[in-house]
Amino acid sequence: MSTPAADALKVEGLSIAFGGVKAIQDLSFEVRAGTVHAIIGPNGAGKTTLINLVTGIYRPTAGRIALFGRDVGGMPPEKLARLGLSRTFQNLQVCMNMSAVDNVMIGAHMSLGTGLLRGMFRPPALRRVDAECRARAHALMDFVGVGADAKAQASQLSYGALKRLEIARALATSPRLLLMDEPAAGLNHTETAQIEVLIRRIAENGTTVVLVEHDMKLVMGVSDRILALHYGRRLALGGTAEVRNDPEVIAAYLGAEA
Amino acid sequence: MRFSNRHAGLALLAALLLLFPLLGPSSFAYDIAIRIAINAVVVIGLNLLFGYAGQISLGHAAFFGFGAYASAILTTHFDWPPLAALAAGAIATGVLAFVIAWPILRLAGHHLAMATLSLGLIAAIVFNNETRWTGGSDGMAVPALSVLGTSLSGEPAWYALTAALLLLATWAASNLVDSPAGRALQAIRGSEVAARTVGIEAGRFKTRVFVLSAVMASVMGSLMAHYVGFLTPAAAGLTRSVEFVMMVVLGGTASVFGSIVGAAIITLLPQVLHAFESFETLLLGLILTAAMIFMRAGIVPTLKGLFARRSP
Repeated sequence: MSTPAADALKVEGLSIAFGGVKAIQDLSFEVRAGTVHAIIGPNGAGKTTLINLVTGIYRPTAGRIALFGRDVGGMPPEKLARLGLSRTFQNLQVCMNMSAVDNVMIGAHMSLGTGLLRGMFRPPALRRVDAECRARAHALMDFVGVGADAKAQASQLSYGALKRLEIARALATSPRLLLMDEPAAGLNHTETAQIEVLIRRIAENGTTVVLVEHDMKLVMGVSDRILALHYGRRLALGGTAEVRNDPEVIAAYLGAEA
Repeated sequence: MRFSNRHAGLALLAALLLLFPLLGPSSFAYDIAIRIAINAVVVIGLNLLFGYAGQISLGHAAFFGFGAYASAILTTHFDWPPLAALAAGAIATGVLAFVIAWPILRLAGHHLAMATLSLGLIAAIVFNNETRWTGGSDGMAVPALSVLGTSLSGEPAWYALTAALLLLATWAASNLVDSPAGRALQAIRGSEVAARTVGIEAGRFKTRVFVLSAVMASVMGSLMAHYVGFLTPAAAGLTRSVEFVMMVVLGGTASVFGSIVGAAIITLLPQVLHAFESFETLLLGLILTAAMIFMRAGIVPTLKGLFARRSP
């Protein structure tokens, strides 16, 4: 299925149009396995649209998306999760009706016995794996730095804690590729610095990270490579220094006349 | 901690159910208790669907009615043994729920409410108009529940059966909500997008819990038909559907024990308020409105919250 040489993510000729608006146009890029890859661009550049395409929320009008060498274009999120793709959300998607630790435990859904009848009778085997899952969820919450909130209701957590909780939930799926949609949005400098450390530790554990982010300090500090988008097209793709010094990128950001 | 809470609740319920016959209740009291138990099991199922998974059904009395009429028709017109009729009704209801789940559960919010409401109305029309089979609005007699020639009769026997089923349903539902499948259901209510992102097949889980709650309603409908011995379309009408939803909301959405409290109160209140004669419905409405204003989360979750705040 996938070879070690396969890119974590390979996008070719990707396009999507909403009515007459071409949100993404003929976009090609690849994310190398084991790297931290940032996607940047001014507001309206198509970053979130791209994320929604890659995670199966939108279906592309044209083009190809391959995850670890496997064609996944138009595949729904629940199938992509089985292939090792997980994500966090720019606008939080936390289940406020559940406790914090339960939110993380649903991340382990795919590795548990999830039959309704099985749940109703709770055989010892299920109780055992469920206890293991709970222990792992606590460990993941410690890892992202919200271990103290484990037993609280999710609705009682602060915004910063909820962002971390989403990361813990995504990690609970044991992803090979983790997409983070603006993990630093709404956070202060200290919290952003902590997120930077966290992203580095996630990458060190072997998970490929795709980061959509506005905070340039974070992007430059943590990324191996960067894709810059502008009006749904690729503006630049390359190493951090290369993209940072690209005149077109500078122009797009500063609004200089081209 | 959460485990001991659940077991304490189950122990309390078991104690109450055992204690009740020791008080030497009248037939009337037994009758109310049996009806509460039957309603409570239906409401536990509906709460799994509505309270936990967030999918409303305004037509649940239809499933109750399918079970009731399957039992009534198969035993009277076709001489089936009651248990076989009950099982056939439950299976048929499950298959029907499975088939309609796919188009219906793709809808959300008001649309899902409308679709289930329509289902309830269609069922009520069928029960009313197929007079050859159902006796129409005049209703039909239903034979006693008999197993291998022994028929279940008398309130204490019916109480034992329905109380045991209530305890079983409570145990199973409490287990479920604390299991991976139960968390998946709650995640669908919390954020369907997030649920799907972690690999939860939302559509499949909604279908499963819809079928489960429909089958629970069907079985209890069959039992109610045999218990009362007479069945009219009112048992499956819109009012009943709304009552079931009221029981869930009053007792507490996403609370298994709330389902029982809600069922008990909505079943009991009309009896208690009977003395007020023409003011009965007005008082019932006022009490429910007040409960919803002061206990928005429902009785059991509100009390739990108060208790948790007092003893940190």
